[in-house]
Amino acid sequence: MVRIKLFNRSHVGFISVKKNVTFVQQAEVEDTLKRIEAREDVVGIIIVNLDGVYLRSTLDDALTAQYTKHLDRLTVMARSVVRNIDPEDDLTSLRLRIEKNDKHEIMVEVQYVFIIVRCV
Amino acid sequence: MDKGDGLDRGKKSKPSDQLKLTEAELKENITKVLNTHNPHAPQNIVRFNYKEGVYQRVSVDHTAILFEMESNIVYQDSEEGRRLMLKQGLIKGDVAATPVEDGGEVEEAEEEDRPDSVASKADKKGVKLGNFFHFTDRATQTLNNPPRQINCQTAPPPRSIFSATANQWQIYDAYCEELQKQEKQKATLLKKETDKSKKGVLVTETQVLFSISPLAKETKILERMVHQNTFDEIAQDFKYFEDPSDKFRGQEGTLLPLWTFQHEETRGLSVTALCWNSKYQDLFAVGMGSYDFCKQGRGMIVFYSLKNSSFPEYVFPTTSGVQCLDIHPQHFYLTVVGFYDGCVAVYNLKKKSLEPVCKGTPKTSLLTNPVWQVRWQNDDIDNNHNFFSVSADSRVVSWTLIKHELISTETIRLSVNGGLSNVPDDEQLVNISGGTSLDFHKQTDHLFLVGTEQGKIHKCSIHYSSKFLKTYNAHNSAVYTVKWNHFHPRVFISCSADWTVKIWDDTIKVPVFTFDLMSAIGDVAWAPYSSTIFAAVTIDGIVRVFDLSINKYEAICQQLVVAKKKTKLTHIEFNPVHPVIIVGDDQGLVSSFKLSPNLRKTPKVRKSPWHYHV
Repeated sequence: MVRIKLFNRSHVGFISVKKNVTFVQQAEVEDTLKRIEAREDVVGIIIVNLDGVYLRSTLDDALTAQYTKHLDRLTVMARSVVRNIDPEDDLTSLRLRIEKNDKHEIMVEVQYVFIIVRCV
Repeated sequence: MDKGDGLDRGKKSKPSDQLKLTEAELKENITKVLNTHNPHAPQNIVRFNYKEGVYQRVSVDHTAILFEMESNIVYQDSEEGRRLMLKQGLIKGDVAATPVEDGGEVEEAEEEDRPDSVASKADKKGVKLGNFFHFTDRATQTLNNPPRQINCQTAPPPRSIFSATANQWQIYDAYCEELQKQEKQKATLLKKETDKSKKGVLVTETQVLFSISPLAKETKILERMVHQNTFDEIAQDFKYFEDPSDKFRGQEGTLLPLWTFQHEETRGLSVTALCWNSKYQDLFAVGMGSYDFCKQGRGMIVFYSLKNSSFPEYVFPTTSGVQCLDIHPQHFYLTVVGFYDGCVAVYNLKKKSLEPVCKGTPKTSLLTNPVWQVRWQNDDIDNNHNFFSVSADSRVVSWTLIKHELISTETIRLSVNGGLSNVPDDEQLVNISGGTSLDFHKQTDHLFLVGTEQGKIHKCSIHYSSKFLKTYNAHNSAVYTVKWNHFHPRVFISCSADWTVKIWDDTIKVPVFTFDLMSAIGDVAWAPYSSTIFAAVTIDGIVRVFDLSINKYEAICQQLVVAKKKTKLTHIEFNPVHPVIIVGDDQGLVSSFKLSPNLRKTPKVRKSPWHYHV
């Protein structure tokens, strides 16, 4: 059975991110990504841009391509659902959990489409 | 004229007006001549001849056509007649063959149709007999133009297949775009002239092909998501777990351990200050430094969020150890920090730099006097931020933040005898006593309490800089913490190095309650949800929670919260909203605990001499 959680914009984080591109921010983001990956439960991280082309991935190509293709379509559908209910809202993140044998969880952030594959 | 026509002609009748003539006249022969003159034709018609310019007589045709009928009878002796008869075979002879017309062919065809026609019989016999009627049929057919088809085909217009869905949000987006376009048009109409002077803004991209800096927010959220999965049980406990065994435990309660916060770079430092953020209640600040006089070195300010216990949100390294910390209650991004070397600094979380916004040094900077407590105050009239500090050089200083600079004004000088400003400097050195803690009254802004190294507590006011309002001989040694009660306007608590915690009513010079905890106390704090609950931490690693409405002599909860026996607990703070406390120790570790239901009882509103403000 697959469980899906949808988050909309009503959850607002307290950090305001400036839109200027700076080295400091770049370093922070890199650090955070490394930390996430270093955790023992995280299997891999994929960064995808809005066109569906994956920029960075810690998994192998074939797997990444699969994940990207399918999750891209899923996020489009999920976003459509959220926005249909309230057009001013938008999808921020998506969480998929597979619970039967191979306990896996996939987390998708939808601004730049992040995918983290995690095994419980 | 037949005689037998049936009419009765026997009698002759004469009409009455018949002309009567004589017999002679009757026998007269009158000749009548028939000529071709038309008696009715006029003889005197004249027409004007324009050529000759005279009137000329016009002769009128005397022929009158009585009957005209077109027929197809041909005179048989004429050329044509003979020709036709030749064809029909009625006469033989050499008539000049004329080119046959289509009509002739038709005739022949018709002839053949009649097998028993006279003509065929005539051929056989040699004599042509005519039928009753010389029947000739002439038909003509006009030339039929051969039909031709002319088609014209234009080039097909280019076609493409278009499909789209019209969802609620697509409609909404379309409207938004329209609105934006309209607004832009309006804006361009207004700013046509000024636009030319603006230059294009250069966006400096980093050298990386694709920059992932805009993903900062997303990575943060993801890290928290992953973290939540790892510490899922703790998160569930934090939110939902209520210890059911509290019902059986009588009055006592327990502390449920939740997350622990530790950062690698803080090794060797101990927690010297803790403060919760008032707006974001999951964020707290930890000041790191050292209480050890000998081991003074660097310090750190670390901000953690309950949502992510494995890595801090903000880290600010400092050159000197941090002694105290306060987050502004309204401007939640401003933090003021007091250092061991006597400086104060204000950090702004909104700015991305690791440096403080401004730093202030005390005026007499020869002595290093650690700043023991800083507290924000309300903004002054000019909306400048304002805070107070108390330091070991026995001064309570008020600092004002004016445009990135700190301006200090001395508020009060602490001295043994009661704060006189006329005493000359030499004598003052003997009389001064360093202040160790400071707290402002919750309701009355200008009132504050100062605890000193001598063990005295002074109640002062901002407006009176020379005198104390009241002095309490509180303790035998340095007062570590003084805190006003959140609800009761007159009650405050103090803890000191003489291992006691005392509760005071500010009108009474003697403490109302005294608790001897058998061990050196690190810190004490009131609970924000009840006026009778407070907690104290000691160096033996035990957290004690007291509820005065339940038990006036003993703690309702005593719990060892650290693993190693040698760790000393240094600070404790209650979360303003959640039933959570954070405890800092001297190893640099901050632990969080959830208070069990017994510890969270809010007092009932009673009518008693002590007015409870709930």
